[in-house]
Amino acid sequence: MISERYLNIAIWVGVLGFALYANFSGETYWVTLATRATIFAIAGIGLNFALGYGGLISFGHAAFFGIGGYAVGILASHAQSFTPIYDGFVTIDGTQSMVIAWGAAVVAGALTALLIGALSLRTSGAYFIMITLAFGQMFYYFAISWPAYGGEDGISIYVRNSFPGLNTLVPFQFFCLVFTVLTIVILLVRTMNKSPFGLALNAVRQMPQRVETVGIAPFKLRLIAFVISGMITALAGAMFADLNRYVSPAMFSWHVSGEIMVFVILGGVARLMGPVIGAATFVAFEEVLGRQSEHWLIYLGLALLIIVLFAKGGIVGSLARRGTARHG
Amino acid sequence: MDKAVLSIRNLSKSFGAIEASKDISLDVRAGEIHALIGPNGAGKSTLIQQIAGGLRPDAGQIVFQGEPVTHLTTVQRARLGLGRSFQVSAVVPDYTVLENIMLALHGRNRTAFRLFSNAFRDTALLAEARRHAERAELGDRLSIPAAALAHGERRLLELAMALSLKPKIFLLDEPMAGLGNDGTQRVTTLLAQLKTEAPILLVEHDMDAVFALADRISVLVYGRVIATGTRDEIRANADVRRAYLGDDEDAL
Repeated sequence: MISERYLNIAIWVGVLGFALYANFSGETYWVTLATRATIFAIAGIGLNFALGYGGLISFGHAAFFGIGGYAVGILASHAQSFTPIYDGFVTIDGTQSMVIAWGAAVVAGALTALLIGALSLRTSGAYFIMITLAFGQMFYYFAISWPAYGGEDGISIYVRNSFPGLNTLVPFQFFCLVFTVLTIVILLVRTMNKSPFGLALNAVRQMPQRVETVGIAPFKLRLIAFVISGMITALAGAMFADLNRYVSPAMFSWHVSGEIMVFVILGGVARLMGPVIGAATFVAFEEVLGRQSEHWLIYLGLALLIIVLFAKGGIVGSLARRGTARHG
Repeated sequence: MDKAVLSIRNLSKSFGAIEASKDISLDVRAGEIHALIGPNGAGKSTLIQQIAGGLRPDAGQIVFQGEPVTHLTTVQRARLGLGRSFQVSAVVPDYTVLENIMLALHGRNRTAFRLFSNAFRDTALLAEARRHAERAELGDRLSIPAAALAHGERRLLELAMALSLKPKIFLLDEPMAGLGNDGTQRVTTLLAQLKTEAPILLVEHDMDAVFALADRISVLVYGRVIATGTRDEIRANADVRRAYLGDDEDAL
């Protein structure tokens, strides 16, 4: 057993090292795989904030992933066709800028999470799981039946969006951008988890009546956590759209919600780097076993079963002892 | 006579056919320990929950510092200064003693929604948390998770969290439950000090402690307050003897 801090650093270095190695040995496909894992990791970190720290088992995070993706897709499609999104009192044009599109994705994710959270957080337990699932599916069917943005076919982004100073079409440069975002997200989540808010959020998961008694409203804590969680996952969805240069209603499907949950559970619930190692493992499984058999999910299921039965803290939990006390 | 900090006026609450509170009225005055005693099932916990905010009464009013609080949530009442401790310890199990107390302090200071500052960086606040722990004799147990504390220590942590709220009144639900002789002694001493800071509404089964501490006692039987008075008045009250103590003359 090693300390969680060192394991976290090792995971971070591992993902970066893999991408560097892949790039310098000319394996651009592997670089893209690393990018994919990094984006999934961000989506997982988003869910982990609500699920791990807040104890909110959301089975609808595909809604945020999809909203992020569609924000990028819609903005790009208007920029491609030179048609404004809104042309009334003011004119809102589309954009191919990642900074603006990702920002829009985060705002859209926050608003969606505020709406879904304000309604779903009135329930708890199995009801919360089902209502978040229902919201996710609502978005899925809405996207399918929305002809203006491709309906079932989704939206293609012909040229990858741009970022100042980078050539985002070069896989390694795009990876570096995405990995930098991951690092910032990790540091932000780490800071928030050590803040008074984090102290109250982790307490409300365990003992809500105590949190109330010291004058902190559990609903408000959970709603803020849910919104932050939705923003992070929407950001991941935006980057996923730019990675694939394509968005489709599939981003909203409950399979995606389930996959994001797998990243978290596989890696370690409520562990800072759990979703990162979880997403990396998922992508590795998909790649290595997916080549052997199209039924690779059976093996993933088996791995998940073993983790859930024998290693409560996921991969991080079975390798590292719990991080030092919160005030350490 | 001191003015009432908390007044309960004609409070009633039923669960179906069971009347858990029947027209209950009582006052907790500044500087006093008002004990609430009664046999199991008398409705003591139901009453505490209505005062703290977990349960809404069917009728009647709760007035705290001159303001009606009957329609306020638990959180709002806590912010006004109702410091509650639970009958079954409800401390955060994964948190250490210090973390639990810091949670209470951030709640009291309304800093719990700060997202980007460190919860443990404020040295003045940390020092205050240590002082509260020391008062509850937990000064040398600061970094022990609550789940690993002995039962008695967890009861003390409950009290430490309540007193770190600096409440205007303490609502203590059986703080001595399950404590040995030694623990009961320690809590008795602590409560005697606390009442100088804020009055205490004390629900307690331990009669020795109640009669040692309480300035006034109310006796609750089947949801009804059958008597309120000083220790001597309660000892001498025939209704109390009959309803609550049976015929055992030596019990008081």
